[in-house]
Amino acid sequence: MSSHGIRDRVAIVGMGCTTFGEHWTRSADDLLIDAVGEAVTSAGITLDDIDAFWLGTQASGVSGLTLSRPLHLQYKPVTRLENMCATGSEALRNACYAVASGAYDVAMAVGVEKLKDSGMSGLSGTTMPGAGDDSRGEITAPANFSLLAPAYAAKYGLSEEELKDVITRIAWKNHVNGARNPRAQFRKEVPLERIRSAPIVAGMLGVFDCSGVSDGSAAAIVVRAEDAYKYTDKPIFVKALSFVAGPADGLLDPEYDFTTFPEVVASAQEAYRQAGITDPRAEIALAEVHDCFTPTELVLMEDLGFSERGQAWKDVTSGAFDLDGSLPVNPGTGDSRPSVTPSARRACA
Amino acid sequence: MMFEAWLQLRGEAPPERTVRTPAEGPSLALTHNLGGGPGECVSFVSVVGNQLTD
Repeated sequence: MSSHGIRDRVAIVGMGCTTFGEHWTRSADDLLIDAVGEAVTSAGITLDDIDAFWLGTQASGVSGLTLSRPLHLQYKPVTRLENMCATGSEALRNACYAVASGAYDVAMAVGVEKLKDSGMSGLSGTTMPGAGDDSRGEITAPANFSLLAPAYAAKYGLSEEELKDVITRIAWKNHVNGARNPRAQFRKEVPLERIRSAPIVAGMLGVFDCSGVSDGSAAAIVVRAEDAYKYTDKPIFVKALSFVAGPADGLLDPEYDFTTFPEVVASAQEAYRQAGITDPRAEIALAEVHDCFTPTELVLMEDLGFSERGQAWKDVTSGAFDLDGSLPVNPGTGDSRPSVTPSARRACA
Repeated sequence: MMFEAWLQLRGEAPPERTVRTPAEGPSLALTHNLGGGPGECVSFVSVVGNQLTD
């Protein structure tokens, strides 16, 4: 049994993306229309040219009607899906597989979230799956991810003060990047000391160690690789798509290691196998990674193979992942700041 | 995420945010998302590039 991958079999030939932030005056419909409109324009096509749609939304709609109604789609296949903060990625994965299979010539993956006016803080309308036996403790997202920080410090011999400096630098770097992105939610650089001394949210995590909740939408148009240059002279070819769900038993394990996500290690290794990558640090030019909380980005650098175990904090400190570093990480940084839980940026691909 | 990879690999990111690595060497970008949290999560990794593999 093995996954086979679809390396170089499909390409992205058009994309659209809204700004991310507090869109109090724009509905999910508005955001979808804007992102989809930009995507079809960039590919030089119309909605009629798209054979099938995959809509990812975690909390801003149900069923394919969430997309077909605002776009006035006429009897097209539209699938709505959800996979927590990987929802947008999952939409793209399904659209790519649909084209690679030969079932469709042109597919669209689109994501949308409209969270800020949901009436509650953080994500709405979602609950983590439990075993039905109350074994899953109730814990906020910042508290949950804050557990990474002291675990990492203890395992690799850093004081909590030293680790605080490391995660502070991650937040600083992502704000520097966001300040240069007109679509980002937070567009101001923040001094290191202000980040470091910000009010604590959970554990070692201050306000600036936590990503923002935002509204937004993004869309991508997928075609067969051999057709890609019909639409654009600069297509993006899909080399690997890897997705795993873990057994979800870590919080029941008293020996659980909070310095790694086994799910990330597994999905990264599979992606590198599909893409033929043997040295990700050298072969990958840039990475956009899940930056819900700063310790997450730190741990991911090791799980994704960008840093040796126990060395990511040194790479962060040296600037290796800065915009002008050897491997820029989160150069777009549409979020990476306060609050809790995932933003639309992730749910939207 | 993917939109940033799209911009960077096509050379369409604003100059003040353009990474120098695609022009100088590898032309691959990685995107990653995880859902859930430590001990109970899903994870997605993609790799995309601006050229077909030889």
